[in-house]
Amino acid sequence: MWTVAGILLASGFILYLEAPNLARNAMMKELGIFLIVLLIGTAVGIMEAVKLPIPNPLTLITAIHKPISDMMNAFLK
Amino acid sequence: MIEKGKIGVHQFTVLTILFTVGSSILIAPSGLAHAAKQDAWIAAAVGLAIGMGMVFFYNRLTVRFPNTTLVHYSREVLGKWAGAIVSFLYFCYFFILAALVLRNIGDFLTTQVMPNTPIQYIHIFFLLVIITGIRSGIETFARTAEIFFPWMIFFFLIMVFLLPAKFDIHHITPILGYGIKPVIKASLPMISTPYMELVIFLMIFPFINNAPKARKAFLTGVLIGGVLLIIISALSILVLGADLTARQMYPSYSLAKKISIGNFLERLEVIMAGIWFITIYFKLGIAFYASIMTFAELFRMKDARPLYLPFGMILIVLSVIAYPNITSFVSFASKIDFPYSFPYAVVFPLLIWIVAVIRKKGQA
Amino acid sequence: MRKYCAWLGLLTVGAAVLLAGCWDRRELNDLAIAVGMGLDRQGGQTQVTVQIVNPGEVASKKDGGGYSPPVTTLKVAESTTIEALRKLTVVAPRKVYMSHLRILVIGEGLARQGILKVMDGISRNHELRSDFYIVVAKGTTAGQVMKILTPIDKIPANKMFSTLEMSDKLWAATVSMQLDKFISDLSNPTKDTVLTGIVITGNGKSGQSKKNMSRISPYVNLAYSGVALFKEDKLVDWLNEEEAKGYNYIMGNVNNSAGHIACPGGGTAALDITRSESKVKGKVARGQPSIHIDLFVEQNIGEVRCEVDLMKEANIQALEEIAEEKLTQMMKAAIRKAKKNKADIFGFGEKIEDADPKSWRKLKKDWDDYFSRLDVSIQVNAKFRRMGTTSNSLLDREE
Repeated sequence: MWTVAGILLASGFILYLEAPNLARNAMMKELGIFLIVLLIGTAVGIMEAVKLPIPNPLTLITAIHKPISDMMNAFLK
Repeated sequence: MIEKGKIGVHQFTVLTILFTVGSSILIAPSGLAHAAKQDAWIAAAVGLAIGMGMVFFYNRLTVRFPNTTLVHYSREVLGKWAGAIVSFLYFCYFFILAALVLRNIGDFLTTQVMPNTPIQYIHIFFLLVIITGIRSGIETFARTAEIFFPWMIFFFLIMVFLLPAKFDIHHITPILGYGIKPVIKASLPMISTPYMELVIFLMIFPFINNAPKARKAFLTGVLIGGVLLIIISALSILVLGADLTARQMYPSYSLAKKISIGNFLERLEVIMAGIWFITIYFKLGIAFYASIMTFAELFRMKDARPLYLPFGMILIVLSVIAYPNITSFVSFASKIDFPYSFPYAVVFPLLIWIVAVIRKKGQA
Repeated sequence: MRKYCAWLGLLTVGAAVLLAGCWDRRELNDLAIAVGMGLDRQGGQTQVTVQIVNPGEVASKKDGGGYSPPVTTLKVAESTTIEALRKLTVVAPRKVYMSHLRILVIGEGLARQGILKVMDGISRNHELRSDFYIVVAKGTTAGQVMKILTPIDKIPANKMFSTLEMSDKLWAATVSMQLDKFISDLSNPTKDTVLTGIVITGNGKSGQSKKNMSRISPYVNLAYSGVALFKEDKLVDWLNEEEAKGYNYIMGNVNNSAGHIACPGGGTAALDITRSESKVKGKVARGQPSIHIDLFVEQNIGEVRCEVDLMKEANIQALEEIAEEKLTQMMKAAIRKAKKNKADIFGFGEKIEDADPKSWRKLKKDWDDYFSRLDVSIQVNAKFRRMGTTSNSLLDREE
């Protein structure tokens, strides 16, 4: 609970640090991307804090490359 | 391009050395000794040789495209869509690399020094310092590297000079007693990190102020970094022996535990850990910087600086969930990393180069 | 400016909160510094005895002023070493801090049963370094050894450490073994290991209290005696003094030592060994392994109890030959004991591997058998250099 609050607080702080500058210089695209990434960051941060399972890219990578790795190992035995 | 700063050639050499040594100085000897036993240092040398070959190839690529980053010329050569896909894949590669390196330092600290601290907090704090460092641009970051580099060398030399007293020459025999095959097998994970990750410097190369000298510096830097890794592997084997090196999670730390100056100054290993803090800091900084830059250039943003903090949040979460336990990491690093890095280090650059030649893009 | 302050503020707060290592902080007065640890077998469990420093006592300038001895022992039994160390918190007023450990004593009972499982927990612990010595309690339990108070050194574990270090340098019959070498040898399938044995001399319970130091000659003391021979991870035999010396000569561990030989005409002469170097070479001939040991020893004459004219070179040469013979005997005795137990404590297997890795791959599986039939040839080169401050013996009175 406190962790989630902390994450939201950090999020807000980051927003405070960066957003005004972007808005002032009318960098709308940058602001948009920044907000999206911040949203994703906060979302996964909260998911991690409440221990919701998050998809792990490494599992995908391992799944793709394991057959190749096994082939290589057999070749080099 | 977004980056406006310029780096000197010497700074680039330092960055390369620090990146090459990176996290490998901590984890490489163990894996090498596991497969090649007492020939671990030979495996490190083999890895270096291949690494130099890769640098040579990347240098050729920069001859063709000296003033733009990887994202730019992949778009130019492969077209808008294919270039974008390749760039996005590189973003993922660099980002995941950053997460793994961050996790490395976190794991090291929680294993050896502070077991009860939740790893997220170590990550958060380390990353905050890194973001402070690279947010101001590559020029400031490179200057910081120049400042810290002598310290790293100083501590490294302490180890090199104080450990020979504890050598046992029989630990390293029989040399190549079991043939070259285990050595080759051991060198593969060594090639995938750090040598295949050197493709990252294609994002930094355009900002160096003297391209021909920079290419030489690239080779020199990787050579020196690789030699440092060979030395550490050899030291591990000579002092601890092949069995202990393979058995320990962080053999360099055990090595540092053995330092005793005149039987009076002992227990200095945490200061030695300073070496690894420095090298991992710079490797992580470069990886994170490159990934943010790739992303920003991919989306043609004017300023990448606001992205650091939110991506930092994602990076921390990724570094925590990347692998559930150390066993998965070892299995990833020793088996999957090589085929995973191969496309990024070899296939894509080769593809870009070949298509560039065919379509007559860039400077011949 | 504002942005800068915000950043700085963030970093400072972060540093204050995170760098203090809140989760891992250990105040100094929350630590019980363990200097010695003893492992025994009790039932099916491991009994851990730790010797903890009593800081007030050790630091106090007034002698024997306090009400407790300089160290305390705590003992607990559990199924694994790690659990036992944690369980100690039910008896210890503080958390036991292992990083300053000086000596690890393994009880003979536990050693005979097998120590590999116990050592695993020890090797994984991040608090334990590798700079302490390991010994075996001979004829007693490690717990008993931990309880003995010793003269001169207030902390018995320190005394055990320094004694072993000294005797390793000056007397060839002990072996100082540290954790990482021990683990290395234990996990080497073809090499076996040794540990020095520690005994409690004297008798009576007074060893466990300050009464032990109440007279000039303490009632009870700790001494090193014998070297335990391990086969795989079980203690199977003891090397006596002669065999232990032979072992150390083969391994090249001898820096300084003393010994005696028989004079050519009867009587004994004592020698002060100043240098020794050994070279062990392996060879495989027609599928049969063999070892050759070259030993070079430099010594001085320390004491003469016979009638011999030390000024004649022929006599010196004769003495050298007798010394060489004696050294060969010692080494052969050690090798015999090892062969009897089929335990390659010398690392001969590794020498064969160095010499001929391909043949070693075939020999490795049955190394026990090959070792017990191993052909070992020894060549000793002993040289006398000096004879102390006098020339001929007092016994040799000019007629």
